[in-house]
Amino acid sequence: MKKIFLIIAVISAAGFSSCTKKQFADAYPNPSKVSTTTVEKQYAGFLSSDLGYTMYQYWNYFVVMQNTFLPWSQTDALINTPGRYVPGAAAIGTKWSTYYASLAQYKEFVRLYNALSPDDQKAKRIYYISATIYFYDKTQKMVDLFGSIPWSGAGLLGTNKGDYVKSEPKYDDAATIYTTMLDDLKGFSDELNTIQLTPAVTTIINTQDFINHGDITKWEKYCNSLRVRMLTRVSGVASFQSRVSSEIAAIVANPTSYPLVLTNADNIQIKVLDPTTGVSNGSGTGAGASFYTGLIGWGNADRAGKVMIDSMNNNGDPRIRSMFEPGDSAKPAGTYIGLDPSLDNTTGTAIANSGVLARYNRSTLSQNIYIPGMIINAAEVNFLLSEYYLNAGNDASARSAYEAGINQSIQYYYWLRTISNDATNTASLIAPTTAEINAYIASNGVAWENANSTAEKLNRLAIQKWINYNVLEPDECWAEIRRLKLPALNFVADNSGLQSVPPNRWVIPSDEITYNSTNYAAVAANDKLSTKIFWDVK
Amino acid sequence: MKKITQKLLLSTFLCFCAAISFAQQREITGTVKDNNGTPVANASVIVKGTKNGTATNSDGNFTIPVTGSNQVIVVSSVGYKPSQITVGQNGHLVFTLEGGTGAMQEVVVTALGIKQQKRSLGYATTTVSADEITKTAPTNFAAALYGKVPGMRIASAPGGSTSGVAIQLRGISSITGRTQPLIVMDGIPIHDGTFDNTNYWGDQRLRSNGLTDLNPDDIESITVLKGASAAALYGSEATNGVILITTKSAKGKKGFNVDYNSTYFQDRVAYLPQFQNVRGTGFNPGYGIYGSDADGFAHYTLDGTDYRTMVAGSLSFGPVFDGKPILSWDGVVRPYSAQKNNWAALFQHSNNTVNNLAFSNVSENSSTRFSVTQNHYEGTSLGSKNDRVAINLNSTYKFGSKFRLNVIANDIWQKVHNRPYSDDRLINNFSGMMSAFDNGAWYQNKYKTSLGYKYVTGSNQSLTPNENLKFGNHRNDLLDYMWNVKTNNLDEYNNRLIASATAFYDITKGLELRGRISTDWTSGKNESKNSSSIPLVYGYSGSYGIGTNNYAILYGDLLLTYTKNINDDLTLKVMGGYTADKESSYSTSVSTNGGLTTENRFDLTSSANPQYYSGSNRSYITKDAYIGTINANYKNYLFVEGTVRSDRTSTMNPLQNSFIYPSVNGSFVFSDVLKLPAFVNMAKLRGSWGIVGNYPGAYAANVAYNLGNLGNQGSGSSTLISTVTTGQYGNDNIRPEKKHEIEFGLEAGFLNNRVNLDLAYYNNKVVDMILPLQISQSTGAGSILSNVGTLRNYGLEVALNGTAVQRRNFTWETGVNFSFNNNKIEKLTTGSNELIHADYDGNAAVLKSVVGQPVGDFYAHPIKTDSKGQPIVNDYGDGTLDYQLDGSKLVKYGNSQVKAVGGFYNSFSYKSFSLEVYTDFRIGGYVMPTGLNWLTGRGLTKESLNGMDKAHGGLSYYLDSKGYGVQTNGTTGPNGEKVYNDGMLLKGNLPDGTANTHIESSSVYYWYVYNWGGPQYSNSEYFKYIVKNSYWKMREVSLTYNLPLSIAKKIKANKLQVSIFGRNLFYLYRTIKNMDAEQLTAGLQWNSSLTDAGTNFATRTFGASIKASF
Repeated sequence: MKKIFLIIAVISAAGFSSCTKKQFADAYPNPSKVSTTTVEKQYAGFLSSDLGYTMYQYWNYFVVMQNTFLPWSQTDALINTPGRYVPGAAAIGTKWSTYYASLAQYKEFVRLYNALSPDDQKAKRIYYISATIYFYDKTQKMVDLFGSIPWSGAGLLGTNKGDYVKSEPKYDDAATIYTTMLDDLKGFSDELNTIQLTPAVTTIINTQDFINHGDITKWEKYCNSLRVRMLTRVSGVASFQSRVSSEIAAIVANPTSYPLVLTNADNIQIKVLDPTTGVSNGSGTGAGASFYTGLIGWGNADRAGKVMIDSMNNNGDPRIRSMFEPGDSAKPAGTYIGLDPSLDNTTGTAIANSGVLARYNRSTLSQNIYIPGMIINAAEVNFLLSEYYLNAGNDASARSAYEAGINQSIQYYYWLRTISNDATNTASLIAPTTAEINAYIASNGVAWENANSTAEKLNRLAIQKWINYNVLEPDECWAEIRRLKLPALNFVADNSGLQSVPPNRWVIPSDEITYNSTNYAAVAANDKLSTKIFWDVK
Repeated sequence: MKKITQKLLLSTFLCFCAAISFAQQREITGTVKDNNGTPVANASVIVKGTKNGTATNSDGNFTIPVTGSNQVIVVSSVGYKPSQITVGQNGHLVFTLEGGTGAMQEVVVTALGIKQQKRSLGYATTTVSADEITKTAPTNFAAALYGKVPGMRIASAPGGSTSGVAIQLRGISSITGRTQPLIVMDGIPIHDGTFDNTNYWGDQRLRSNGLTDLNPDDIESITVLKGASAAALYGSEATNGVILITTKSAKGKKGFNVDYNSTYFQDRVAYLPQFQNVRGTGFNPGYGIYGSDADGFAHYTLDGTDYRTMVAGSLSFGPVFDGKPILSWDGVVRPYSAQKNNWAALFQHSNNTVNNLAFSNVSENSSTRFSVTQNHYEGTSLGSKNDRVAINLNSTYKFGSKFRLNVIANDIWQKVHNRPYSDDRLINNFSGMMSAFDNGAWYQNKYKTSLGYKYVTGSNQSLTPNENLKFGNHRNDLLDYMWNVKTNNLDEYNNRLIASATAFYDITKGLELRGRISTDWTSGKNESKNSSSIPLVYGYSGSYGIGTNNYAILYGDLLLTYTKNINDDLTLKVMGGYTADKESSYSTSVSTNGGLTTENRFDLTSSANPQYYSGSNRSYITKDAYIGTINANYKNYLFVEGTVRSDRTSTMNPLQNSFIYPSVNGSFVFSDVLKLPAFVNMAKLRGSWGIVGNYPGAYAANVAYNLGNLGNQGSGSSTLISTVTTGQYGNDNIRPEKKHEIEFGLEAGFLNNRVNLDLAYYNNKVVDMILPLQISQSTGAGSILSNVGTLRNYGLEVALNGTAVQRRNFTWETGVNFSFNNNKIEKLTTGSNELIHADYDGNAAVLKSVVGQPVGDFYAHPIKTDSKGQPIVNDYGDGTLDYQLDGSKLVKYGNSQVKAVGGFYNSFSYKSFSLEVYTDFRIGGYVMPTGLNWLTGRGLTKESLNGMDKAHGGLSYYLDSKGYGVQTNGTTGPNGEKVYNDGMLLKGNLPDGTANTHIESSSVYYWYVYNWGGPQYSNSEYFKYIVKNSYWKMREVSLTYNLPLSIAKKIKANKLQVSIFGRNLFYLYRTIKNMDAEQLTAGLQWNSSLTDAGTNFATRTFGASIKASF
């Protein structure tokens, strides 16, 4: 019996010494993740959470843009394949999930911010304001695509400590989202005039804010320019009209309090300092550049469309040589030729394959890995102001804003070429001269004074905006085309499916319909490709 | 199917009742033992050529009357090979039976490697012997178990030896957790891992699970523990049952032995979709879908000559083959005729060899078996191959009378070159589907340029612009596929050591201590070399990467057993112990960034960007448990066992990571007690109850942030650090899944044990099912780990086998087994009454589980009907029509759970020949092989020929000015319009309520009905895609010839055997003709084997082998 007790004692001892509680606790958390964070780190996490869609990268262009915004805006060659006016599920799903993943980071940032002491909140107010401006910018693009979306109640799973039933968000009305954002941005634009940063905050935000490095003036410019963009977007909606005119009037009347992005030096953009970091267009170069592989799509999607190229050719647009390069087999050699969107599939494909078409300049754009991620630029703000002046009956200001916009745009595209380290396009770029720019502005199809009606002026503005946006700001480009119905683009009807012309909006992805079905039911009736966004009133 | 099963059963039974016999003269006695020396009870003893027979008693002894001398006595018992001895003058005969499954006296390895008498077990087990595992040289042991274990469903992923195998016991016990049984080899829990090949964009090579590494040639037997009580001693991870593998040892042999076997077999791609071969790409020209001429061709002017070409597009409703010249996409002018067998050049025949050499030696104090196996396997994917060397050592040493040591080591070295490449694009993507006038061989010629770069299309930049592919209609996806399989190389090297040392110490009488320490350790590296695809002048391309991985399980247990005879009738056995288990895995990888600076120079120093891509991963799991059992044996006919296990795991919140798993089971051999009819030799009732558990994977429960480093973004020297919440939300309060199971069974032997029956009924309930519950992105995460509810599984398992005919030179053994399983979601705690598992193609179909229903119902949108109940025909206004889907409604079209599986085998032996025929079947279980339907929608399958002309039932019509088809009998329309003969009429009402009379081209019909996407995108009728997947397959056939001893002796062999065999030969029945029934197996999860027809094609195998013993 003694022996037995001995044995049992040995076993017990072995058991207790084998695994301790601490060993179990140590092996529980994932060593590659962290369980706590700070407002500052989460702030940078939020800002960087959708970089693949702000910078110029493969997935956005190949999966999302190639089959949607670009052909529907005729900013690239449109080959008429069956089903071309229905956005793919991959495109829709990607766009949606990226926005909501980013929104979740913003809401988590807000949760952390709200947990700070009132003093800390006050000191770190700049984080809250700047993150919210950026968040609203992204939200505006989503509303422009989908209309009503889950928003105020969205992304609260962390805040609700994992209660997923409680976290299923209701849909907010599209116009209400715009109203809320415009109200808040107005408040921020005043608040930014008085905000003071402590040295500690200044130092840290300089690193964490990779967009403006904590430069309050730049955030003010961004905030006000975004307001102008959003106010212009809703300017056709009766219920918004009075605030649109009064708020833009207030902004332009007081440039000291409400500065705007009016020159390229003010552009709000994400610069590429090191292509191997996460803030970049990817590190692949040449034909392996991320933007290039996405833009060229299945082989011809980086080619030019006829309408845009003709407009640029006819008026001597100096941008043509920085934005485009002629097709290798173009006849006559060196000319810029775009694909006629009215051709059938076989003919269009044959022309594209023959190598006559101009393509987006690889050295300036698609293989320029130093191209900054564009958020809002001087040309577009000038064009928006011009539209405001035009509608306000202030023709002289409208004209000068229009011309300033063209000037900034031309300079901008030339500048893009100068920062490129790509030499694929061997033609050395000649800088646009003032004389050349003036000649373009005075050309028959561009000159403001040659437009003999408000409608024609608006059309010229739209064309300029369209050229300026091209493939670099496809969301804004397509939204403005829908809002203005300008430039007037013709599309061959697609008889092969449910959608014969480009749609008015995107539909909600099926994951959302499936997993948030109760709330979706409220918007289901309007969830059609043909439903217009509330600001689409023309 | 049911009827067939019934017939089979009936005929089998009739055979059993055929021949039984008597006679007599002098008495011969004998003993029957198995090769472990254990007596075999109830073995059948027959005097050959007579009807004179008896059975052995419980000590394996028998007495039989014999007339005259030179009579042959044959002893057989189910699961053993029959043995015979010629009666001389000696009185007592000793028979040793080899092999062994199913026999009642058999000793079965149970949980923790504890051996128990089969008659004492209160739960169902099935044992499969070595012979059955290697008969047809399957590349892994699981593929040998098809239809052999009641309640077990096997599905092999296609692709070859490197593809995984999914095993399911008694339905699914976890909705998204592991559904694979725990695999334990010689007492060591084996790392099996998982695979999921459904995400083409995530990984284009087909992965597998760890069990495929194990060498079938070294396996002695496999025992399957199905129920909770059987597996309760494993507690965690045993919810899906346990597979116990015992490797071969020298046991039962004498002296020095050598065994050698060698096998060759070839796999060929089989069961391809039924393709049409009458027409190329295009569409009825009247519809203007493609820019074609009136005959449906496109044109290209090459060197001044106008050629016909096919239109560039994926729809194959083009002109019928006419044999006249046409310019193909590869620039060759050839007759426009079907390219028969055009898929052949996309694959290879795979040649496989296996050589095994085993030595064993038994001496007084030790026994050792050592074996070396060399395998060369090839995949059907071009260039794919796998080489393996497996070494197995199994030794037992005795030290004195009280101490024994068993050392087992398996070392498996393997190299995989180019794991099979997914066929996804060929099946699941329109731009990868090859038309009937196209050929894999053309892709082999054109995927690269003469300079070795990747093909270039159109006018894109190239050093060889004349080689650019310009003539439309090539499949870019196929060119890419060919480029990828031919020029992207991936080599994986793995070394896996599975080793254990077990010490037994008989302390005093009845008290035994056993200690074991073991490891399953894998170390691997991989190297990828992707060729430069473009010339350096255009940019850097290609890549090189190298990675290492390491996985280790360190396992130990200590068991103390005390056996005590309380009195003559009652024996008690008590066992207590402790087990602990640590798992760790590491991997690192580094690869070039931005392409190679020197073309095809594969090294990191070729990286275009100096900062390499790199990554690492590590994971740790710690588990331990205290265990205890008590067994009571009353008079060797009544047995009761109780077990308890107290578990801890590191994958759960440390504050609540301990759980208790109890079980009880009992067995009653009532034939020893009750007087039963004479034809019943043995009958046993059993019953059991138990609980087993399942934990979330490592770190799945964590709520955490990913930490990011964005480098220096222009703020001096500071680095930008960020955090983001993970898209999968964890749950610190997660509870383990627990399976409660109750089981009853009956085992019986009839007619001198020539017929054996095993019946089992089980009913289990999985509570607190763990799920990364999918939630809407708009909540802030894509999923959250949750305990979602309760699932019930219940079913019946039947195994019936026996010797149908036993004659002097001829034996026919046959057996059938089948199992039915039903499951049901009983309760959900998610606030909803359904769980959505998947949403396919933009809400075209949904896979979900609804409370009160089985797991995994397929839902799709039905056709909308009007107030009169007529289907609504949707009019696009351009002459094309389809049925309007009801986007607001989802209707159930089938359930994905398999209703029944089983096998039916027959084994015939005539003199030295034996023929074994194994079939297996599955009944029910709906699947949705979407891509195959798209092939029909693109006009590529035979089915899509319906209505293409008058001969195929097409209606004649002309197109009016608006493009609508008007039926006609004329040769032209009233205004001279062309008449087409490919018309169809969609019966139903137009939206305005009138009956549809418009005729449309059958090509429009097929295109629209079998298109992509949900109601937002098209009216594709996905409900047609949801089909039942039942089959009855000729799984294995082998013909073996034992060469006469005189010939064997010439090469000094004791035994020489040759055999030819085939696997996956043909279907006796299948519901889906366009694929192999297992082609959808793309992962271990039940729902990753339902819809993806595009991983690889199944294969048919033929081979031959030779076995010799010296």
